[in-house]
Amino acid sequence: MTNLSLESIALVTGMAAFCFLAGLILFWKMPDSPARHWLLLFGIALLPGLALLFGSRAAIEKAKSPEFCGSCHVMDPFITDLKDPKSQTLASRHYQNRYILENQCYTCHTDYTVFGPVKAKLTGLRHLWNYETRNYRIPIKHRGPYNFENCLHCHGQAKIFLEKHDADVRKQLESKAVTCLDCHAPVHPEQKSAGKK
Amino acid sequence: MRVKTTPLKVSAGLMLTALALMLLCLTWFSPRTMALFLGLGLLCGGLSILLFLLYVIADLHSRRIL
Repeated sequence: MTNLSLESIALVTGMAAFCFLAGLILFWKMPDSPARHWLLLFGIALLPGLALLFGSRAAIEKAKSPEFCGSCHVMDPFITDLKDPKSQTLASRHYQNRYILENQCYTCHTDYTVFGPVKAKLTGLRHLWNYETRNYRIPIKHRGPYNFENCLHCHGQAKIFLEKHDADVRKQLESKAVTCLDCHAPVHPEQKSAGKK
Repeated sequence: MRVKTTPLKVSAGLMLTALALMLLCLTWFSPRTMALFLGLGLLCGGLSILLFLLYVIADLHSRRIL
């Protein structure tokens, strides 16, 4: 199911639920009968519940795009860098060479574990909250250590990676004695201004 | 004795608010509308379903079914 169709389904069910519920309120005084009970159950709980489920899923899917990440102005330098043809950062090279086809920010910032996507979505909600309440500091920094297993998930078995990284380096990477950024930096540009916004 | 319909009216109102916030979020997608929907909208939706369930239980109880 593509994002577009999920969004369309959410919009259609949302509008249908809204109209149905509004209509139900207009005919509020209809006589007490089993039909009224079923209408209330369908109009207040089942159809709107389903619409909200589709809606929240569609909103979360839509929020995975780099355009959405860039809609918070604090992310401007990172999004500009992604599209800058002169940039040599890891993020821009991955983006411009289409190493990752879509949802580039989300793909690198989500752990490949069972709860990785859930954790990423909760982190996203925290970012939304902090942005709206202006509770953040510039420069924006990655919270906690980055999980470099995310890089190895794609690169780990690549021919060029195996050729250029001998067994010793691979062992050090797996044991986290060294990280990818020890040799391949920077990943994003530096954010210049400082202070609390 | 019939149960008061006030919780049912509040439940319907809360659900209408939740749906309106969802439609607003999907139509004008931005961090602000998304925060509004996922924060306030889903809270309204959850409360609405809870109130509806309480109304149903009270109604069934008044009819001596529960």
